Amino acid sequence: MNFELTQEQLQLQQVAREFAQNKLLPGVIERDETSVFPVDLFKEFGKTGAYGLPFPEEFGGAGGSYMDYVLAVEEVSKVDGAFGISYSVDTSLYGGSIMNSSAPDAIKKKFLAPITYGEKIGSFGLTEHSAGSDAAGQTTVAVKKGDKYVINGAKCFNTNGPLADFTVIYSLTDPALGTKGMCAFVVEKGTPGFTVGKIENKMGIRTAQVSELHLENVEVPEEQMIAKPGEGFKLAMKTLDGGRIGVAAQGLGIAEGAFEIARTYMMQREQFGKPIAKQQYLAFKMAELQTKIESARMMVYRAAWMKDNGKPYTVPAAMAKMTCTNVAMEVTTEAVQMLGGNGYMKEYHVERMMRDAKITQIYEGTNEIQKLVISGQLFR
Amino acid sequence: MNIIVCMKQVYDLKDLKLKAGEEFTPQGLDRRVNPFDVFALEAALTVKDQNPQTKVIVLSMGAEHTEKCLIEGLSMGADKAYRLNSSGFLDTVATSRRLAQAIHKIEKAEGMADIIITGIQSTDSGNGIVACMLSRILSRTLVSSAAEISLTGNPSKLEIVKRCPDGFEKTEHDFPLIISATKLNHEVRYPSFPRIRQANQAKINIIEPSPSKKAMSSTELIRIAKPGRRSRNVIVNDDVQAGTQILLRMLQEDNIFTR
Repeated sequence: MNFELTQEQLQLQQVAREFAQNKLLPGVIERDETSVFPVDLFKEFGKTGAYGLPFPEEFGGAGGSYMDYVLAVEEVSKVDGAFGISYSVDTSLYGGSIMNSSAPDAIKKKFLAPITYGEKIGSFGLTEHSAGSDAAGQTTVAVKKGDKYVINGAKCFNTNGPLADFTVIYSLTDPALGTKGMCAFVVEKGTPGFTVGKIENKMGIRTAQVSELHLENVEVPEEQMIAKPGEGFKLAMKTLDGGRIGVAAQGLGIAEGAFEIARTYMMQREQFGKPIAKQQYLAFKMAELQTKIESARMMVYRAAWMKDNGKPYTVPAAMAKMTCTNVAMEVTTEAVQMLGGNGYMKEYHVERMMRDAKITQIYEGTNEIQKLVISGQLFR
Repeated sequence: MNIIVCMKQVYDLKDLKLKAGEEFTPQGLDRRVNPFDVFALEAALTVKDQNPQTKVIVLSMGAEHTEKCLIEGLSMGADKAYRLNSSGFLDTVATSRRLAQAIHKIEKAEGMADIIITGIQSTDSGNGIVACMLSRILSRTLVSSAAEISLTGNPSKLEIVKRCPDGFEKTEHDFPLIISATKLNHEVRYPSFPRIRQANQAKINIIEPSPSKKAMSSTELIRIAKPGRRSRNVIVNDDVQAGTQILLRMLQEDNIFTR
């Protein structure tokens, strides 16, 4: 058993940390207010190969591990949680769908390689207005026509939706078959009939672009079908297992970012003639929060380690997602409290982090769904 | 074209808190690459961007832990790494002489260096002497305080933008050259993750020193300590003209200004 990061991992963590501090931190408050996604910064970070970290080099990836990817998501999320989710969706949901699929290697490479260095952006289309936690209840339908499929339907809450060059669209071949007929396609931006709908105005992760995607008689070549009818649901669930590790890393990063701001503030802010860090009630509270952050870290690192080592990781990923995101919510809420009135003001960052944290308990499977996943394995 | 970049591993002093008179010990301090040497490497890599045939070689002096600094150099884009084995304190003269010997050895193996580039100073000892000493020992032209270097249309010339006290100075120089780099006019690149992995697996060439008598320290390190607090505080109440003269004289007496 080894709890130490490798020299390589320490180095990549440092690169991600410097990028977050030097590039993401300036302007993060303004971006949150204007809801403008920093496309240039996203592409710049992509040049490091970050978005392809967990994928093999033969598919255009950076040839690292899921653990490497977790470290990178964690670092950027310490500063900018919205950047963290755009990254996580690009890599684990879009990239994960491609890598986990049974598509031929040439197709995998064709649709994966362009996103790994940030030249193109990916998105993931599973959720629909009437199919959220119950992903099987969807109504988007793909019908075979010659060597093409014609897709009709609508997706919602697609992170990166308006930006994406490629989106994986999950659909049913026959609504009567339900998930037994679910398949998945890569749909390219600009394909006739494929349009961006309403762009959401959100509580947090405000710079992440989240939208509806409409599909009206969208014709997609059969070779872009990455999951054959009947394989789609399994692909979506497997991909979400990996995505949850990404969201867990995002939650951990948000918690750490808020914790550090509170810690620094408490050593400087003086009330009753001494720094508030000297108030034992507050210091003990911080000790509790730090302990919770450390336990969350152990869970997400372990889940990534299990995935990297070919062990079953569905339950560890669900546990890590639930723990890290609950810790993110608790730590950010307490951080606002530690900063008092200042904490409620935008320039101190923690109120944004608190708003960003809330969604982590909801997306990629609500924390209630995580309990369903965990308990489902518990009483088989 | 060959470029040798000298990179020093320094102590990270940002968390160092010393009381007046307290002795410095490196215990508990992290080590990092001297930031000015990162500028030096970045400058070398911009030449490589212009001419991809360029071979960038990073050189560090120190014990095995110094290799971390070379790995960072390789991660950013250097092609080869050499470590000049060394341990314990060496003064700047001895350091420069040993580096010059190592450069000769590298040039024997890799070909003449058109450019040797170092950071203008290190952030720990802060002497700022090595580039000047190398220039003297190797009898090559020194250009200091480079903020930008680039190839020109003329293959035998290098254009250098120097940072000066009141602006910038653009000059052209023939090879071979020794350059000291300061804060650059452009950003330093981020290493890519695949390069980080390759760098961690790359071979580091080791050079054993063959110290002549000249390459031994001629000074002895006794102690490093934070200067004691000044015992007298003086408030000058005279008008600006006269007051400035008084302050200037006091600074001269304390050898802070020399003229």
